[in-house]
Amino acid sequence: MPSPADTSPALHALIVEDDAQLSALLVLQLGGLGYAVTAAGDGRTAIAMLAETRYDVILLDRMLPAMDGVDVLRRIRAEGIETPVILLTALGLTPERVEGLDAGADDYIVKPFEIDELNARIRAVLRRRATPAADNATLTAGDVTVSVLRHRVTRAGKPIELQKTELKLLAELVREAGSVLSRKMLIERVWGYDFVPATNIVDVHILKLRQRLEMPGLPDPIVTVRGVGYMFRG
Amino acid sequence: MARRQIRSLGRIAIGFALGVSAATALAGAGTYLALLDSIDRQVDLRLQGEARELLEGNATVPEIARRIARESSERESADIGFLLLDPRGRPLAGNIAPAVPLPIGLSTVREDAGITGLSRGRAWVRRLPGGETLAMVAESEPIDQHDRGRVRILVLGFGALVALLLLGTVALVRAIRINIAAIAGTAEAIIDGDLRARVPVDRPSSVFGGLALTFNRMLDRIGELMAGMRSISNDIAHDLRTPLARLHGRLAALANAPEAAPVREELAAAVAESEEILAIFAAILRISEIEGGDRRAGFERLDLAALAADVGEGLQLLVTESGRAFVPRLPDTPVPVEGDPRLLTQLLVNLIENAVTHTPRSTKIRLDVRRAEGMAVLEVADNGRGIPAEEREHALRRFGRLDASRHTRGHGLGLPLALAIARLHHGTLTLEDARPGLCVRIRLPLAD
Repeated sequence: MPSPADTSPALHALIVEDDAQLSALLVLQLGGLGYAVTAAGDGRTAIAMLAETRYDVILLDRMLPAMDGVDVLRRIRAEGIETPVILLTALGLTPERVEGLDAGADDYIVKPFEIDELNARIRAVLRRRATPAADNATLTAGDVTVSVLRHRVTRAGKPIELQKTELKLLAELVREAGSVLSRKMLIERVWGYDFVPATNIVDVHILKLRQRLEMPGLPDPIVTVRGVGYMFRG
Repeated sequence: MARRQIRSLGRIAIGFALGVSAATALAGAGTYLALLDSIDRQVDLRLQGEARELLEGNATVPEIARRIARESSERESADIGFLLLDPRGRPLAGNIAPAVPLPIGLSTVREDAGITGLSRGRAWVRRLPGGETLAMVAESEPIDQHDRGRVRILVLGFGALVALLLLGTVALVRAIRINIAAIAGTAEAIIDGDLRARVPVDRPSSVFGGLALTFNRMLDRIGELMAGMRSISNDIAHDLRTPLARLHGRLAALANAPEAAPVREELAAAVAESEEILAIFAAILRISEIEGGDRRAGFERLDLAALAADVGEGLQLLVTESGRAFVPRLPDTPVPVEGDPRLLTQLLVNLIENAVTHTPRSTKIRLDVRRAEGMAVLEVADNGRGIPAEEREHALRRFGRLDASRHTRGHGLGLPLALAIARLHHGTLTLEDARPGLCVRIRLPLAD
């Protein structure tokens, strides 16, 4: 599993969470993944800390005492702090999600979540900040090329026939090649669902995609990351 | 014993009309009889007065006969009939000849007495000391042929009265019906899930206005109670979620730790269990959110056929790879509805996933969108084992998962969630027999 420690100096994360136990668990788990983590118990403390220190990412609880998470977010954005923010929430309700994103959140994660899921989302957010998405361009990773607009896929120069959903899934994996995409992230981005389906529809499609991309002598370009999701080899 | 209650407005109206008619008839008959009685008494007094004049001064029989002749010719008493009989019953004087003997004293005489020109009258008869009989008869009808005229008056008057009464009753019944219909309509809307429906109140001071106000106050109270219950179940789900989320996090972290290797499988199972519980909470909260009705604010006009095509496309592979056939039958023309595309997507995904998890392999799953009877109809049908008719209602209830023989995954909230979404859209969800198999039919109002 890729961890920040592999690449460079530790990423500095600020956790704003009033549930002390959950906060402690997150500090422990993210620390285990190589992050440098600081915790704040409420919004005011967090705003004060942000004035002093620069963080790489903020994990902000949606429901905080005294000052709501979305209010905190609006305040820090109003003060010109552009640090990526991921909202943590107990409810995955669409209006809340929209409100959070409108207030300037980069992503949204519904409690409870696997630490790997959070890690994948932090990575995705940081990557998106570093390289703005090129939605309509031709995407390439390794020997695979995807042209979303023309609905064309090739591997090692040979055309591959894909169904619409398969192509959307491949495009998402190729665009973020080298990073882990969780099943939930794929469900949101490829299928556009704001709920978790009861069936293993991501795995079924990955399996099909692997079959379609299979070529003698070439390795499987999709890596399964146990307990999290999938990654396209960069 | 329970008292029988008349509940039909029509019957109440008929009963009322009959009652008032009977009362009117009785009153009419009473007046008529009282009138006749008072006339009789007047006539009796007159006859007695006349008799005193005839017999005045112990008049002899020839004298009485002479007086009779005189009285008969006088204008004042010309309408009185006289008869004087000797002891053997032969007429000595007079101007009437009754067919039957008249009884001694005062009595009523009818047409059958055979007195010319008399249909109803009074008779005064006395035995004289010498054995002769003196009889006098006078009409007691207020007008000639009174009874026949009376019938006509009665028929006309009574008829007009009954007609007026019927008109009034019809109007009254109509007014009551309209007011009851307003209340019933509101109750129907509440049953349909529009908990904000209230009875319109035009005049709060009227009886029906007051009833409507009371009814509305009751609905407000029910609304408060329901909101309270919803917030309680929400609070429980919320409060339990946080510690459960922590538990889940710890278990997951433990499952990944190297020292957990010997029990990893067990830990993975525990993580899966806690995920299941969390999924139930998510579904409960989702249903509560939907039943609250706030999502209607985000409704937009959308094409149900296109939405179904999208969902079908995204799930096609899931269905076919599970060894089942997928048969979408979608129209080329739009089927517009007002709705929340995310919720309608969830509804459809739920139904198709349900069909996949609850049917044997090689089942055919049909997805159908069409217009029918002015509604948008969406169907997900399979040719599996179906649900017995008596268990269908149960299947729509929360946690109403059918018996274990329908080998199951999921938490049994799929259909209740779909039902809540259909209701939010002012639609219905019914479980039908696909002969064989189950057909889930959603009907939504068209947005044409």
